[in-house]
Amino acid sequence: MLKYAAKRILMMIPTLLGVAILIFILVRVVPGDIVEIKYGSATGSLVPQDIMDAERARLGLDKPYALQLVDWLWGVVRLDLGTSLWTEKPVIHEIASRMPITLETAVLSTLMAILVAVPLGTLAAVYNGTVIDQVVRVLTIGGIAIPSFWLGLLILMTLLAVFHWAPPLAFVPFHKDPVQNLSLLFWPAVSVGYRLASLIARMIRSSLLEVMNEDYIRTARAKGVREALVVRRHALRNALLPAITVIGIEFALLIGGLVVTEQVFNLNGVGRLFIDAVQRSDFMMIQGLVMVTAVFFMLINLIVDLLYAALDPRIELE
Amino acid sequence: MAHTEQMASGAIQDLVPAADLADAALLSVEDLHVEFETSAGRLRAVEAVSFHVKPGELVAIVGESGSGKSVTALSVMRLLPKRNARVPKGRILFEGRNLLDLPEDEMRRIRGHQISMIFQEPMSSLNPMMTIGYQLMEPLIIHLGMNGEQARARAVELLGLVGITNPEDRLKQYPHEFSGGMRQRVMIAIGLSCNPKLIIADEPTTALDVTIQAQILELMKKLARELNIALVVITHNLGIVARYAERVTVMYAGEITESSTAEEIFHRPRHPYTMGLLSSVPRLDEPKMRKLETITGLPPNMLRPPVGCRFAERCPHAIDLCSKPPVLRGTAAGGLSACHRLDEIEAGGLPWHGAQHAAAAKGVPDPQTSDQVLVSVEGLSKNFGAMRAVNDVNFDIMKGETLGLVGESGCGKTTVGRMILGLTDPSEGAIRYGGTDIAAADINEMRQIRRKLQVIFQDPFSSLNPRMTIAQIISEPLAYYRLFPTRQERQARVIELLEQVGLPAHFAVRYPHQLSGGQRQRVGIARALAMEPDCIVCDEAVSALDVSIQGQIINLLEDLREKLGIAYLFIAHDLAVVRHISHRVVVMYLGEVVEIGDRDQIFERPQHPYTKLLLDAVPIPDPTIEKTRNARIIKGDITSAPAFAKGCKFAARCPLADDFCRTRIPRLEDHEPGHRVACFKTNSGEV
Repeated sequence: MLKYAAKRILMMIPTLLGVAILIFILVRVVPGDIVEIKYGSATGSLVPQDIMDAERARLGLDKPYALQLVDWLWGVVRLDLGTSLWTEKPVIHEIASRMPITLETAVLSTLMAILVAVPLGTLAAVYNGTVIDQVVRVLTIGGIAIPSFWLGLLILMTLLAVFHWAPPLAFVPFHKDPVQNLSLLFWPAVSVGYRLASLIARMIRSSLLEVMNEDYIRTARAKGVREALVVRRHALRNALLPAITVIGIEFALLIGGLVVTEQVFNLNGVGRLFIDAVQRSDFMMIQGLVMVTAVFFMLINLIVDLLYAALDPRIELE
Repeated sequence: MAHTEQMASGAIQDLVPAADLADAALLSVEDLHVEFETSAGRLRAVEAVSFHVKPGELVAIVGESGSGKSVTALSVMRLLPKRNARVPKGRILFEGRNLLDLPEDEMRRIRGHQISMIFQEPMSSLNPMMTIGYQLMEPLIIHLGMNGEQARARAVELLGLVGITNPEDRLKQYPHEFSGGMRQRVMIAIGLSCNPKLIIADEPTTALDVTIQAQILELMKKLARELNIALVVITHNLGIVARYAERVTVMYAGEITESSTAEEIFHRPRHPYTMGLLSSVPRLDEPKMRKLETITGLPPNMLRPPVGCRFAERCPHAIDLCSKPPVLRGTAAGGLSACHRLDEIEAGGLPWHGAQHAAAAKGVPDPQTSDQVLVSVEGLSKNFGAMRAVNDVNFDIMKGETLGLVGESGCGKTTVGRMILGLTDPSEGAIRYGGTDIAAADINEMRQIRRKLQVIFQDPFSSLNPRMTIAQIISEPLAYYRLFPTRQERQARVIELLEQVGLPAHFAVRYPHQLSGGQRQRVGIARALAMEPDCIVCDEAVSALDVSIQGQIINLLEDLREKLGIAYLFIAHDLAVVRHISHRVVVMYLGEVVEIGDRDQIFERPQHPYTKLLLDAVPIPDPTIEKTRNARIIKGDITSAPAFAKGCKFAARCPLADDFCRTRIPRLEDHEPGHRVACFKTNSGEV
């Protein structure tokens, strides 16, 4: 298992190098120039050309692309993602300072989603075709159909209009002040988690329905196992396996993808950083963010595979 | 309908035995009706079924798919799907209590405790995520209130009882670490765990090799005897019934057609369906001088069953009276039969005449096959990774002959078939078709060869594209090879082909799901014939079909060979079918040919111990013969021999093996002309 994990981590290196080259090319293909944005030339300000050129040279943007690429890759190899062209602080520090808020929201929403989805999906499958199934269907289809930012807006407005309460403005780490931390992050987690819960619940419902038709479930019943135990012990474990993949992919997406929700709840997370970087054509920041997201994706994929092997005795990792 | 029900319940009064009989019975099913609500309407799967089982008795329920036999078994366990199944009528008395009236919780305490069930598919009947130990201990803990330690001790004992070695270690293993036969042993151990009074086994050996089938059935019979457990075996295999059952109930289209002792059923069947069923199966103990006298047609659509006798449509003796529902009546031998013409049958007036009777009567001598080699397999080997699946196989397929290829699953017979078709590349050796090596052929040569080598697959349900009409399926290769350039010509050819395989022309516009299994297999044959092949590889082409349908397809294949001079490579595990259809037979074991010869040499004078044991394992549908036969059983399974074994690969399971066999590899040697055997014992004349 350890050997397998080590092998997989080693195999991430060539993939990451490929990602580094690809994103380097992509950000340069897309139009946009940080210096012009900085000096507002797009809005018609009259900064002389030579000042702009000097700034470009200072940021190293006048070097040939090939040289820039070599610099970038050499940095990646040394785990140095360079400095932001806008704030001129190291990219890695910028990301690290925003990561806790995003990571916590992602973890919180995924946990809540799983806690809600497993019983909900199970209920829907066990009472397939009854009112319970219908209710769960309405709830989950709603969750998939409603965009989470819109749900976020509704939540915020309800909190304000009905309860006259607004979430705190500043982020405090959980270990310093759990109450303030959760009052800030709970609602964004709900608005993101609802969609995720719906997705997982539907997944569990359909895979559980499939498993309940398996021959070994009939065997369990023929042994005289109580129906509740048939579901819980014999069926659910088999049905959860496909859900793990979905949970893994969705969680990884959240790390880089809380963009709109962070905007709605005014959270200073990675998503926000992403938008700012793109708007400012901050190449280094975009590249750094993509690299970090890619690493997360691959690690989560690895974890899903390891979990699969741990849960399913038929899978042997080599 | 009311009329029918009245008649049916009238019949029941006759047959529900006197009170003393019912008292003696352990299980007594009385006038059972089961219905399913389907989107197409109400399906009456079981109607007015009654039978009883005495303590310690061995009873068989025989029928084809859709006969209602499995539904009957599931109703006894009350395991029918709750969503759409209903039991509108009937009683299931177990030790005097009506199981249908019990509250769920009490019923649950009977399941796995008083009544156990063993299912058909050992590969999927055990939970892949749980250890064998847990699954075995579960009923002990639930029903007998054992603690973990006691349950473990009993589980070890049970695994030993069903012949699994190293039970302590194996308890910790998962189902995927067991072979199919071993899993079925585990299922039996689970069934036995709480000392039940009754075990219902639904096709317990259908998915297993014939050697493993014999092991499992012997085991079940022995344990049932020793522990005084009543055993209800549900099967379509008449050989199994003859070997193991004391009493037999035959079901057709949801109803009981006949019920009697095994002897009566096999020697003096009293219902035309039973007669037809018996003549539909090829037998190892009968000379092959006849066409199979099969039952024509198909079982009725159970959504709209015929009002009268449900078998009448396929019955050669049907008369006007048969449009009224028959009554299950007592026979002279104390059995029951639901035939209007029972009296005539008892008087011996109505022997079975299949549709092929005329042809059968004159006897069909084997047409001379040519000695011209069509396909030549030379030194063929295939490695899958480190495993050698096929090792140095040599044989020829002659023009117009049927060459049987037999062996247990995992012996490499399918791989050989795939290599001949060019679907798998051989690791070593050559396959020559008309002098061209298939593996070395270029794309254009292969295109031509592929036309002449066609295939019929095992599973008629998955080998036809569900989104294509039958005409499209059959004409696709015609268009590809531009054999018939215009659509009209292709259309005409499709209809001609359909006719050739015995399907009406209007089937051309249907889709596969509208056809029955046998009809689909006919479409598969038509598709293969479309290319005017010289040779068709039939990979288990009839083994997924019901007995009466299987006979029809076998006859069709034989007719086509006679008419068109096609050669078949007939890959199958059913030895009786292979004997019936083949001119010559190749026996394979663990990737190697152990014996090759013509049909009579292999079946009358088998030389290799493996061939002999394989033949011994096949049950013959005749209880009298079966009683006198001493079932010799091959020990172990195909995995018993390590792949790296230095000597004869069969040595690990061979009763004759000595140290010499274990260290040296036997070669195929001529035993008599055309009969080659790879065994030291035979070749040195020691047997």
